[in-house]
Amino acid sequence: MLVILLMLVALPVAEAQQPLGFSHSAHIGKARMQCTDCHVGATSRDQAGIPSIRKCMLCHQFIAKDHPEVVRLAEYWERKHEVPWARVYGFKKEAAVQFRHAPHARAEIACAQCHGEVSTMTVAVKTVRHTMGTCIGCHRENKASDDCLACHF
Amino acid sequence: MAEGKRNPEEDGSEHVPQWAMAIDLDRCTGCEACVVACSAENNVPTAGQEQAAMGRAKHWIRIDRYYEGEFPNIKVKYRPVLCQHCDNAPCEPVCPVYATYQNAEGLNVQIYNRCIGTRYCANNCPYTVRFFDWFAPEWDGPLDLQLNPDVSIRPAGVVEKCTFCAHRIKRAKLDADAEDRDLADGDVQPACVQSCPAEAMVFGDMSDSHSKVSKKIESGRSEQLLSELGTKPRVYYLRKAD
Ligand code: HEC
Ligand code: HEC
Ligand code: HEC
Ligand code: HEC
Ligand code: HEC
Repeated sequence: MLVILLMLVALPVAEAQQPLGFSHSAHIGKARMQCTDCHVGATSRDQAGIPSIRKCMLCHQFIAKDHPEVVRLAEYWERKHEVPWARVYGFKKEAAVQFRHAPHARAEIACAQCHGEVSTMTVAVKTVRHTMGTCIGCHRENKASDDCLACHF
Repeated sequence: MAEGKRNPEEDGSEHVPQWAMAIDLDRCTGCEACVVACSAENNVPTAGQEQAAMGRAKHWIRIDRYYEGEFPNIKVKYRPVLCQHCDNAPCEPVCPVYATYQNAEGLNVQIYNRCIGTRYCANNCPYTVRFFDWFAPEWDGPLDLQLNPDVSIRPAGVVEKCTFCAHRIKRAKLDADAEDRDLADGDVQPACVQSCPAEAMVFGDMSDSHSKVSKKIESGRSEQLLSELGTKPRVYYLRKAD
């Protein structure tokens, strides 16, 4: 009983457990990277995409090789494995939601509006809740579509 | 957002296309390429022999066959039948939860997660093109790897049907937006239209009088299926008057 109670209390603050101590702020601050250097589809495609380990190793074959988390990254690389990142944002399958990144980038909506200040985060943390209400709220404000078929098909 | 409107009308508002399809029955050979293409495109699972025998097979598009004359002087005619996207659709008013409606572009839309599975719509459809999902769909590996991510998988307990490949309409619009141009006639091709080797099917905006589909509809050869019911379908069938 107590265990269940503890779980219920703990759930709302639980973050996705990532296999590796990745840091967004290190890459945007120190490495001066842009979001789209890694999430290449975020402005032009449906899905932003999570970068492949090949991209990480372009730099990390040479950079910060001794950092313990980079050593672990290299271990995945040696075994020819991708890093099994846990998903942070997303909808359950039954909701039949078809999200598209490109039209939002075209409408000049900043990543931060939907994902929070990721540039100051280590691994991504879900800071913005997306419900049908929040989607449609902004759509109505901006005269974007509120036809069910815009998001469900 | 005022700038960059697609195909502005004279009053500056955005042009809303009116989707329609024309199917030339004199060209259709009944090859069923459209049926296969549709199932692959829209993640429509096969039902299996047993379920099919119980009338539970799903085909968003099917070929109806008509036989004329006696063997050996027999003539076969084919008619591809899909959701007719009626302007006056019998399926819509019977849904107690508004899971099916006609949108501004004339598509008859089915919102799966809104659907509670009463099946009233399927019962009321004179074209029998709506299908109930009795079971959650399954694909034997490796077929599950070829599912189309642009089309949601329908869970058990809802009704599904042809969407006029609404996801392709959306894709064409997003592509046009990305290239800063208007949608052109022929940019949108549903899977059935694309796969038809006889080019019997044409899809497009019938509010544009220059579109291929408008010309087919106005050709004098067009008719609508069961038009006497007053359903006002968006699918037009073409054939030489006999
Ligand atoms: C060096 C590459 C890199 C850069 C640059 C980068 N990211 Fe990430 N991003 C990742 C990786 C790897 C993950 C998966 C681990 C995680 O969730 O933190 C991720 C995860 C995310 C997620 C969560 C994805 C999910 O699972 O739903 C969001 C949102 C995100 N990033 C947004 C951003 C934004 C916004 C920027 C720019 C400010 C940015 N990222 C810059 C590599 C990067
Ligand atoms: C453009 C080159 C570049 C790419 C690509 C890149 N990194 Fe880095 N990474 C850096 C730099 C620069 C640092 C900072 C090193 C330092 O602190 O001195 C760093 C630091 C790190 C660290 C140490 C974390 C910390 O707190 O300093 C980890 C772990 C890491 N990167 C993982 C990744 C992963 C995983 C990817 C692929 C998704 C990736 N990197 C892609 C340049 C890159
Ligand atoms: C209008 C809100 C919105 C904006 C703006 C937005 N996103 Fe997203 N993003 C989402 C939603 C919702 C999801 C989950 C989509 C899903 O799972 O279907 C998501 C998912 C992601 C993911 C996870 C994986 C994937 O491939 O989609 C990443 C990474 C991401 N976004 C990065 C970004 C970046 C970088 C930007 C800015 C260029 C950005 N997003 C702008 C709403 C937004
Ligand atoms: C911050 C405001 C904002 C939020 C939040 C937002 N959107 Fe949008 N969305 C827009 C705008 C503005 C457009 C219109 C772009 C255009 O017309 O070019 C748009 C366009 C779209 C489109 C393409 C429209 C079409 O007709 O094809 C889809 C799909 C979409 N949004 C889905 C979503 C979903 C799903 C969510 C919630 C997870 C969401 N949006 C949240 C502002 C938002
Ligand atoms: C702008 C995008 C958007 C539009 C337009 C939209 N929805 Fe949604 N809808 C969503 C998102 C996102 C979710 C998932 C919310 C969540 O996971 O909390 C959702 C969830 C739902 C759900 C709940 C599904 C479930 O299993 O939890 C139903 C039912 C639903 N929508 C029906 C509709 C209907 C009916 C319309 C038209 C009147 C509509 N939606 C229009 C984005 C949209």
